[in-house]
Amino acid sequence: MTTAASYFDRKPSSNIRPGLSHLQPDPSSPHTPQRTFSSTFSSPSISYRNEDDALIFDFGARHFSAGFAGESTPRCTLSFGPEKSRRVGDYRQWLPGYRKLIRRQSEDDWGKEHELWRMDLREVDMGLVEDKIERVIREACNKYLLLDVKTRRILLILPSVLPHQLLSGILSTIFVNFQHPSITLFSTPTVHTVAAGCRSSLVVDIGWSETTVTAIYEYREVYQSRTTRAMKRVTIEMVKMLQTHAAQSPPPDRQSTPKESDAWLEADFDIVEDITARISWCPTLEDSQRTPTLTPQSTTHPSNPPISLPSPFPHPPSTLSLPFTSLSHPTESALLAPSTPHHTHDDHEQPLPTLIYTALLSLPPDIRAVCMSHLILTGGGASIPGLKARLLDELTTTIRERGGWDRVTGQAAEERKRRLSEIDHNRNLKPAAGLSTVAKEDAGGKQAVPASRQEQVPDPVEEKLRAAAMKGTKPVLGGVVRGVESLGAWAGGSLVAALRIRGVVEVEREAFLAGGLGGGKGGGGGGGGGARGGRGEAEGAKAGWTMGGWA
Amino acid sequence: MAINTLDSEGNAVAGPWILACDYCRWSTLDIDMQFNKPAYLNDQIAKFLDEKARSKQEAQDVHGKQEVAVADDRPDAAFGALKKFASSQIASASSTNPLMTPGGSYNYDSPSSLARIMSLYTGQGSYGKKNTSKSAPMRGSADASEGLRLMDSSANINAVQKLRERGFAGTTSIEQRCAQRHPSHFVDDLLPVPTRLVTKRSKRCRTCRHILVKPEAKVTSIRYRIRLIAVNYIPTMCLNILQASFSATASPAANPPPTVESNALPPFKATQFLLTLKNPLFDPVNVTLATPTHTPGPFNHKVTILCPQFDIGANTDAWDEALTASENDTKRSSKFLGSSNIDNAKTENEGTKVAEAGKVWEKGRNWATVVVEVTCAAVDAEKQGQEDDDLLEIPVFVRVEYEADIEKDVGSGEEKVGREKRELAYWTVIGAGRVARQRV
Repeated sequence: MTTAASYFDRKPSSNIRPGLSHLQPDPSSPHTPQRTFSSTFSSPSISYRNEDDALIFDFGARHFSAGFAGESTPRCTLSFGPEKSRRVGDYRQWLPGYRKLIRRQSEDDWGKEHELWRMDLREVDMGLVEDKIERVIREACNKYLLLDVKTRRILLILPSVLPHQLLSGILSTIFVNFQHPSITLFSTPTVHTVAAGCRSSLVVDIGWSETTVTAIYEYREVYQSRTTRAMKRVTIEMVKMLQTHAAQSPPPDRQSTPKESDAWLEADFDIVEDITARISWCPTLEDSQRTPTLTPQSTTHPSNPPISLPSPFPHPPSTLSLPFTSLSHPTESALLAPSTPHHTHDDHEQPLPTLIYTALLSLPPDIRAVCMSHLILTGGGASIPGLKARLLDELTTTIRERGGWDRVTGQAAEERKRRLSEIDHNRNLKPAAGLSTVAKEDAGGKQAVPASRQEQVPDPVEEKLRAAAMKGTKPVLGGVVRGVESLGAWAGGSLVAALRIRGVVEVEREAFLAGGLGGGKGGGGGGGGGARGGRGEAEGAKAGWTMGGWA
Repeated sequence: MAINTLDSEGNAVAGPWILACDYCRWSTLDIDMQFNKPAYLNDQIAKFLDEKARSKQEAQDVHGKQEVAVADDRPDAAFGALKKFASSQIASASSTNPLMTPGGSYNYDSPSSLARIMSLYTGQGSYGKKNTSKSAPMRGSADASEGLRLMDSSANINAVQKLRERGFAGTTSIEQRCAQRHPSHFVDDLLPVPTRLVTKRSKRCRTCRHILVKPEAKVTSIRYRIRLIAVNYIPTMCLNILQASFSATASPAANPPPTVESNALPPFKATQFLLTLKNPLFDPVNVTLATPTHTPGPFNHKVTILCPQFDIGANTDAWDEALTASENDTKRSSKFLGSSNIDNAKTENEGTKVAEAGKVWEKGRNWATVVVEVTCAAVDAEKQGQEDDDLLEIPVFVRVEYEADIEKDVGSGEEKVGREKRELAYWTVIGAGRVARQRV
């Protein structure tokens, strides 16, 4: 699977079979190498159930991707736009002279018809969601997967927090309309961690309607927080910026609209999203602190070339020309909000650096150390050039400014810290001191160091033992802010399925159709615990199933 | 895209070959890609990418990067490395229990584990003992050879610089990114996408699992082995506007009423439509139509079907009708064409007839026409709504009852002669036209 060529051979290759993995030389402990027999003589034990590889379906609010287990990329990625809802034979969007009807939308409704679901179920038409799911799966199977997929298991990747109604809708749609025997659920951050090759990580998923920060420790979700600063907000900011820009540029007949249409967006969603995905960028931390000196209007500057864009507005001009620097503003103001003071942000709209910092802060120190050096930035927003570097920079700066990991901030806290250090300093002058937790170098140097501050006496035996224990393992890096690239949620799911790891949440068709979401008898009360979306060991044959983190 | 040869002198067999798009003038020469033969392009592209990655790596080695070179930073390679690493980890972790495969099921392939199982059953031998040595805990991948890819801040910032240089035109659209295997931000990273293959599919009924459509297996054939399509069972529906007749108005001589256009139906005014149902079955059917009094949607148009229940004759041989109904001369001229027959009947009768509730407007061999009366609500021209807000679409629930011969049971050999009542019922939507927008 190391070359791209393997993608192109269409037959489900045998190298995903479980047999291969034990053939590899195992460094740590010797065991009998397992022989592979020719098929005539081998007992058919392993491969009967596993003959068919699973299908991987990855659902997000905006996109759906599907493909076969063991491949590195999905076979197709489909979206849920209104163009997909057209009747059969309605080709008017391709006709010459067709003009899309551009409606005025409130910010809340922006992009609503392009979403599969939104978390506020009051506004969601469940029937429509189920129909969309059915159609997208059918399209994926009939157009892209092309094999007889009925008998295969499905590995479903879903956000880790999903309303029951949506979850049950998705499952029942798949079970009722398609004949798949079972569905395994995995949560998006967990498979992201798998796809990055880590066991613990902090997954920052800059999605469409919200950004989630999830701490994963040993494949278990231990913490999650979210903010509304996500791509939806970026596109809204983009519309607003383009609107003000269009109002400034020549056409004088439309002057009244921009002011009163402040809360209304009147732009072609597809074009705006395209612009956002293509040309928005994010400056580095130093650059953004320097920008006030460099006026965005100075288009003559070589580092600030004018960029011409198609206009998303129904009125002329049909193209807009903006200086390059101004195109970074939507991303910055929507996701990072550097210009607004910290205390103005509500709980649900924390800027990303703050959110990441608080997420790390609320973790236990051991987990924090591992998570901060396995930072995964993903989602649609992560592809904005410069954003990943900026977020890492911001996080480092925040840690430095806050002086490490201290929950308490503000003037009073500063004052208290100053006073404490004064006391500490005074005590250090006396020889009998030493209660403070902060280890400090003594200025005197030659003074008698208290026993509690002395270096541990090295114990050669213990060292040897430890070295023996650590032989063959590599230490996990911790305590440094470091980003890790993930191959994506879908690839993680594919990896999990290819390694034949059984999920905690495995839903059987018959049992679900008989009992619905509550039909699982296995772990009825397992919902509240922290064991969500984890990667389970084989648990034999279970009568029911547990909904794990989704319960 | 077409496969073209680079050789301009006409000996097209030699090559090298390129892929070129006749529409946008892009060719694989733009990305320095050439092919040795005009087939197996996927393989050749993959090979090309491999070589590119290798040369890049060698260039890195030359530059003196001593730390373990990023073998191949493409996602495919990283995926392969990850998979290899993970399976080795699983294998080493589960080695304490050699009876199990990594997937968690019993492994009978290895002779040693087979021996262990045998000893378990027979209770002999020393195999039952537990392996007391602890295995190392599983760990995450630590370097690039194990699939770990670190975030590259400088590359991230370089991308901004590239974006600045290329501008909007140099970037890929969302659509292009979805179509590519690995989404790329810039146009020059795009690769040719293989054509999607198409299969012939058979289709089953969702509820009874009966095969409805099955194409012939032969690749070149376009015929079907089984083809049970709904049109052969349900009545065909056809909706036409019934123009107000002269006789119906008070003064026929003065001014004829304006003809109603289907794309500008007048609001607040009853418009009559002729709904024609044509029976494809070889049995006479009884049809019941139902519709909500007001259409759903943003504008509620009032709909009445004047005759909701009626019979339609069987779809018998066209000659039967020709022989029986011979008294009408005008009909005779067009009796072989069902549709023109209907048209003729309509034009002839329009002048005199008035729609009556409970009565079928017109009837023929295997068709019947009833009148539907619609009073459109006003559609505000100013108000912005969805596209196609002004469409008048009438949801109709159709129920068809008929008696058919009981299908012969082949297995029993006994032929049952009898009739059986069957029923079809479904919702359908009829598009009638557009309502004229006006200011309210």
